[in-house]
Order: sequence, then C-alpha cells, then structure tokens
Amino acid sequence: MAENEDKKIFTRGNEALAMAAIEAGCRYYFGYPITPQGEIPEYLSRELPKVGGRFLQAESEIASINMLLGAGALGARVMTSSSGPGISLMQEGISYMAGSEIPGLIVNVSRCGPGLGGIAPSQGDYFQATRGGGHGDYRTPVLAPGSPQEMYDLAFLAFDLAFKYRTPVMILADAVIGQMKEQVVRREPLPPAPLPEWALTGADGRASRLLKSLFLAEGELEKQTLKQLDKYHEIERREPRWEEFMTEDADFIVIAFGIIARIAKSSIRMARKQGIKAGLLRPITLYPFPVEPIQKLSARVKKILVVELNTGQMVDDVRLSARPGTGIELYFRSPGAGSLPSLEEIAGEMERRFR
Amino acid sequence: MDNFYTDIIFSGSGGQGVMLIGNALSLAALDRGYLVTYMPSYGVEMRGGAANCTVVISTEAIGSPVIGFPEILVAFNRDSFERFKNRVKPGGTVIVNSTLVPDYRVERKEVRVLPVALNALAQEIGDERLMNIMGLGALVELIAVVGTGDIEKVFPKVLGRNFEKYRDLYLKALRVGAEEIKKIK
Repeated sequence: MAENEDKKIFTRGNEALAMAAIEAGCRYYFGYPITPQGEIPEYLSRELPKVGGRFLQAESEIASINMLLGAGALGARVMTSSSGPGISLMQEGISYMAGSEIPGLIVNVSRCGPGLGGIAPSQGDYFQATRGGGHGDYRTPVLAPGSPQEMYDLAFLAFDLAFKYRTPVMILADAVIGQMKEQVVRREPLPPAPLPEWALTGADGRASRLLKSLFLAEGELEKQTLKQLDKYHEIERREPRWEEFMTEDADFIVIAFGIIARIAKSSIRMARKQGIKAGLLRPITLYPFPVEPIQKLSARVKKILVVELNTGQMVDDVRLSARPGTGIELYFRSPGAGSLPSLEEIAGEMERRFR
Repeated sequence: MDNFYTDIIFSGSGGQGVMLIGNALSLAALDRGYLVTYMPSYGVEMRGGAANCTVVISTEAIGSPVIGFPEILVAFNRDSFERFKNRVKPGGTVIVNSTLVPDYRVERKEVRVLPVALNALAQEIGDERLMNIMGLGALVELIAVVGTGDIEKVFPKVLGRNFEKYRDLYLKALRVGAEEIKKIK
C-alpha cells in the first residue's frame, strides 16, 4: 500500500518526463536553458549525478545536439531538451543522428515562433517535427503527450523506439503540458539495457565499427537511404498510436493533439449534452501519423473538424489520411499569450459547424 | 462522490506565496479523491512581479488547466485584484486582501466579494508573512471541498521543515482565515 502510494505523485509535466527518462535508463543529458522547459534540466541536474549519470549544460544548443550524437554513438541512453529557437539550432545534428542511425531523445516543449515568438503554448513546430526538420531524406518518430502522465509514459516509449529503430525520437509537448501539475502514476524503473551491438566501445580485440552519414561511393547512399526507407515503412506500419474518445456512435469527429485535445474532450462532453454526437481522435504519434483510423472514421462520419494551436499544419496530414471527399474543416488559433482556446470556444465551433 | 467542479485563480505578487497555497490545496483535494490540475504562471515572473496559479478540482476528467474566467478569485494585492476581478464568472466569488486593497470594488452585482484583512490579521497573530496561509484558510472555508484538517496533512510536503518549527502559527493562520469567512459568507 505504502509502496503504491509512492508511485502516485502530483507533479509537473516537465518533471514527470525528466523522472521517466532516468527510470527508462537515460544517464546523459546535454542541454541549454530556455523557457518553458526549464524544469527538465533543473530536475536532471539534481537527480542524474545521484544515479551515476552526467548532466552537462553546454555552451549552446548546437553543442548540445552534437554531444548527444557523440554519447549516443557509444550506445548510451541520451537526451536533450529545448524549445522552438533551440530546436531549430539542433536540426543539423538531428539530421546527422538520423543519417548515422544514432538513437537519442530530443524533447521540444514548444513555444511560439517564428523567431523568438513568445513563451505561450504553441503547436507551430508540427511541420518541423514531423517532416524531418533538418536536411536530407529522413523522418523522426514524434510523440505528442496530452498530460503529465503521458509526459512520463512517452519518455519510456521514446527510448524503446529510439533503440528499436536506431533513430533520434522527438517528444513534441507544449508549454501547458510541460508546466501543469497533475497526478502521475509511476512504474518500476527499467533494468539497465545491454549495450547494442553497433555501439562504439573501442575496437580492442574486435573488428572496428563505423557510424557515419557520409556515403560517397557509387550506389552506396542510395542503398543506405532505401534501407532507412524500409525502416520508416516499418515504423509507419507498426508504431502509430492514438486515442479515440466517444467515437463509436459519433457523427462528427474532432482531431486534435496535445493540450488542444485535452480541452476538446471537455468541449465534446458539452456538445453531447446539446445533442451533437461528436467524438475525438487524438494522435499520440504525429509521425507515424494514425492514417488508418482516420481513414476508417472518415468513411462513416459526416464531418471532421481539425483544431490546432497554429495556423493549420496537422490538417494537411488529416487531408492525406481521410477518404477523398470527406468534409474537413479547420478551427485554428494563432499561438501567443492569451490565444489558448477555451472549452466553450471549441464547443461553439462544433455547434456552428456540426449543427 | 457527487459531481463537483470548481476552479480558482490565486493571484498576488511574487513572494506572497500564491504558488505554495495553490499546491497545498491541490494535494489536499487529491487526497480527498478529486481530480486536480495546477497551472502556474511561468516564464517572466520574479519576486515583486505578478504571480498567479490556477487550480481546478473536479470529479470528472479535467480538460483545460488554463481558466480564462474562474469561479473563484483569491487576490492578494491591488494589481492582481484589478487584473482578474472582471474575469470572475457570474455567480462567482472574490476573496480580496482588504489590507492592501482597502477600496476594493467590483461593479458587477452578480459577483460576491469577501474582504479579509489578511496582512493585518496575520500581523496580529505574529507574522505578516502568514497572510497566504490565512488566505488559504479563507478559501478552504468557502469551497468546503477539503477541510483545514486535510490541509494540515499536506503541510509537511509543501512547507518542509518550517512546518514542524512553526506548526502552531501555521495552523492558527489557517483557522483565523476560515473563521473570517465564516463570519461574512
């Protein structure tokens, strides 16, 4: 009983994520401070040394991501975290990690852009996160938590995916999910993972290994890219995750992720009381996008409303997923202080468009 | 448990302890079996600047932890009172620190205002800095979701060693705040 009680904590999303990273075996953090993710390095700078790990505040985000690449090449569980402007600076390193197939966790507790933008919650980094972000033909799995509990749970999943597919993985959260406190139920920490067979550990007594993203020989890069493509196809087949809420009998579907999905759930309850049969589909993985369930739902619902805290990004993926001819509408709020829609505002949009 | 929902904005200036009492209320409501979210203002706050936090207590899954129009406002200083008073929902309540806002006024009739001279009363029992705990006592008496006993149980978590050291003072502040509201609510 007492033990179970210890597993239930009331904590901030950012802290839940940091806690889970350690419990999932992460021992190395490299990063540079920025709002609104400050509690992640704050927690890890205090807790990592206690478990024999290392916390390093780098001189910049560019340095952080390259340290991540280096430590990741040794087979260690490594992470960094930042927000908008810092994540932009990291794109080169992320591309190199993807090219060299080096796993690692990159957390974006996103804020408004472009440029310095603002520190209010935003979903404006959707394109950057889901389309690769850096140069070249690659994708990164992107996980979108909708609560402090998912900040915790998805940190475990992120490391699983990163090592299973040898890829950098991104958690794309927002300022509200990062800053809010809510009850989180913890699980047992994972036992230490064995070093992967590709890890660079020093070639003493064995053949040397090489991790690289430069492939100059004729046909070499094409082959490597196609191998990676197979991997992305497998990810698209096996790893989509989503939540459906009240979709069984729904005539209308709202599609939203992160903080917006949370608010939309309350809006749906409100709309249902007014006799509008609405449901929610919440992508948990933004890449791979949950194409199949959207395709299925689009075949039987009257209309889909995409709600986003940006000027319309995920709506493109919904259009690509839904059956041709599906009525797809967008309700967006352009991110900035005070622009987070209330549950009444989303319910009002549902009333207007679904009635 | 009967269906229940309320949301509260605690507001004041940095250093007055609004975050601390928001946390205490959250933990106590959680112990009582409610679903709770706590959302702090973040980023550009500092001592002396504006600080506020929002607590939502519900029996149903909570959507937004960010509340534009709260049912209850607890305002510790003039700036926060002026900033939030017109956002309180019709039928809602404002607990205002009348020591720092003696000329408190809400023009809307559908909003109830409960003045408590928090700094003055805290000074009377020994330390002005207890005004936040007293404000929490007042709020707890108003919403009647958790008792002062529930708050007492979570005090060690939010106050740390200070609670053992000044236990009687903290509990007195809590009690006096509750009694003030009992008199006027």
